[in-house]
Amino acid sequence: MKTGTSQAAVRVLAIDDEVQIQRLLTIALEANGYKVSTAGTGQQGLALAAQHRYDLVILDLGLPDTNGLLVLKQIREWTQVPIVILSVHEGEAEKIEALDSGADDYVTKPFNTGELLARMRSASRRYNRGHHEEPVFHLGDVAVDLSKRVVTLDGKPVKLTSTEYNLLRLFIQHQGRVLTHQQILREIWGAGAEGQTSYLRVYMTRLREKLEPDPKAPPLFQTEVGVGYRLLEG
Amino acid sequence: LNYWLQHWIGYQAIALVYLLAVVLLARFVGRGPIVFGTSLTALGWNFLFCPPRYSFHISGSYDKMMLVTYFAVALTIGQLTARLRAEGQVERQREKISTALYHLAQAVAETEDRSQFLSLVAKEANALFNAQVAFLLPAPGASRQLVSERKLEWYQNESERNAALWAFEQNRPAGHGTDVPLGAAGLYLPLSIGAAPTGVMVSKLDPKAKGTGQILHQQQSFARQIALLLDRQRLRQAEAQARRLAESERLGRTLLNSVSHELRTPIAAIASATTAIQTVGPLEPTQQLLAGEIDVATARLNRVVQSLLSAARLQSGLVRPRFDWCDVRELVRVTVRNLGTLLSNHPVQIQVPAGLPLLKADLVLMEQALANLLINGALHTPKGTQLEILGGVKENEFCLEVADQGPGLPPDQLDHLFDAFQRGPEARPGGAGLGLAIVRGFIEAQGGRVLASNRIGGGALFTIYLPLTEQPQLPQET
Repeated sequence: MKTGTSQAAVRVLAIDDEVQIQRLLTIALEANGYKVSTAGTGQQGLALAAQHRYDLVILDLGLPDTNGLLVLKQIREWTQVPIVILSVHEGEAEKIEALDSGADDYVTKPFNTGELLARMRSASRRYNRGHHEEPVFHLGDVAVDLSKRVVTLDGKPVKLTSTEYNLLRLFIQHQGRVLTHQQILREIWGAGAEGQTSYLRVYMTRLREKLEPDPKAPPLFQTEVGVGYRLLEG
Repeated sequence: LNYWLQHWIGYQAIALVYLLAVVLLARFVGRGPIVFGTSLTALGWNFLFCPPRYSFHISGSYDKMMLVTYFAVALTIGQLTARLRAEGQVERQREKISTALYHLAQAVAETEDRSQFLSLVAKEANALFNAQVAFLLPAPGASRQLVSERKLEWYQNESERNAALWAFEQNRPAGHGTDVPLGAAGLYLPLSIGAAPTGVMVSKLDPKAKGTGQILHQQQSFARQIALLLDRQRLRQAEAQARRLAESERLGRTLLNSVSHELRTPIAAIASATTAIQTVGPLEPTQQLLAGEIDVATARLNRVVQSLLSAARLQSGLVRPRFDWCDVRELVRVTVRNLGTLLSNHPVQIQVPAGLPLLKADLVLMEQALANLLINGALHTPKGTQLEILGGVKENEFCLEVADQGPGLPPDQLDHLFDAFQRGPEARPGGAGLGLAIVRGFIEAQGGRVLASNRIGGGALFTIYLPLTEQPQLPQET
């Protein structure tokens, strides 16, 4: 789904210290129907974000003047606008912290523009959809009737334990979004279980065995190495 | 003088003049001479002045009483004065010691070198105790051997060495003047603040010196203070060392981060630009092909930069694994999936049984290590040949094998394969020679090891071994 030019253009604020990246983001995003403002520093980005209403923010975590995480936290103090983070390959720790601090998604540099656009659309969609849920969820061969707590694969019922079901439900609620290990552990096993990633590994394996019968097929649950998991979008 | 004086003041008052002489004498000599002086003057007065003169006979009972009183008073005053004087001497010595310690405390703050400091201490102590003082420290690399920072002639014999060693090992004073003389001429005091001593202070007193008990006590407290100063110097050095290390690590990290930023930014710009062209609209077939070529080249350049940065980080010791529980099956699948088109010419066979224990490792490092082995395999084997990944547990270790069906590895190169910039003599172009070095670096950083060998049926085989740790407890579920 591309943003149609007939609708009001989606306004994007791109905060990145590299002028060339700013320029490229402007060209690529405007060609795809977005309206782009750029900021080269965290201060400038915060000022712009406070003055104007944006529909989405792209934030580079490696800013020269302030820590990108700080900018993220400050923006989150007053708005829930979707924020997509740009980070580097070794930046798993900062990615996790950004996601835990309210970032919606991340793209690793050097990024594929198509991937960035997909992440942006997905984040906007989740933001606009709010917490509305369809009573029956479909993804590939999997169907989940959330009102009856019934899960089927290829039309055949699948037996899940209550923890497995809760885990699946959490992913469905945040479909397309990366959930960090800590976020999942806190939701499913409570605040005391943060750090018990072994629980998560074991239950993800069980869930996958039940819902991804063909290991060669693209997985429903995507492992984001060192960060967390994401339920793919249909 | 007294002969002359007696005409004026009478013979009895002469006793007072003698008394004065005894008191004055007590300011300069010890108790023994005082008793002697008192007796001498008492007798002298009796003999020379007391009637009948020039005889020890005393006629008057008054004079007898006078003589006895004189003796008692002179002795008491003399003794008291002598004691005062001795205490004054001890006090002065104590003051000298504390002044010396004060100077040494200042010196220790300025000297980095321990033996330089100790020779300074020895010089001060020589003057303080009027003795030959030296310090013995454990010889580096040799057990049960103490060496001095300067040559000591008299230390070269067996009983001296034994006494020194005994003092060092028992952490108690030994040698001359202690409960444990061991036939040694020197006094050996351990330099310790409670725990094991850092060395031994040895002093050889002048054999004619008196009051060894007092000196032993003083030297013991002196040795304790020196041990404290040495400990302070050690702590200060350790702190400075840690600061230097942290500083150099910080510098290394900053430099690496800035180099990494500078290298990656243009790559990011190229990558986002070429991919952006493809999002804007349909390209002509030739344009599409060209964009695809730029894409492939950018990805390759990115991998090379990534490898160089990883190797630099390994070299600088900046790789710190973040251990977490991993599912080996998941690790293998996600690695293969993320490699995508890089493995498109090679079918990948994965054999990792379900139900393996969890692996405690850094998933990011593991992914890169495994990916490097697979890329290496794909690069050095003919198109269409199969790559195999086998996972399992062997003898309390995880083992992860990557096998190919290529020409295999030259047997004489097996040991050097993992060194940086080592490439096989018939290696095809491609790869910077860092891939396997990074594999080894990442695996060893996680407490594992990696081996290269040739399969019996032909082809190379790389095996990663990682420790199997105690498995975590899982919550019970009904």
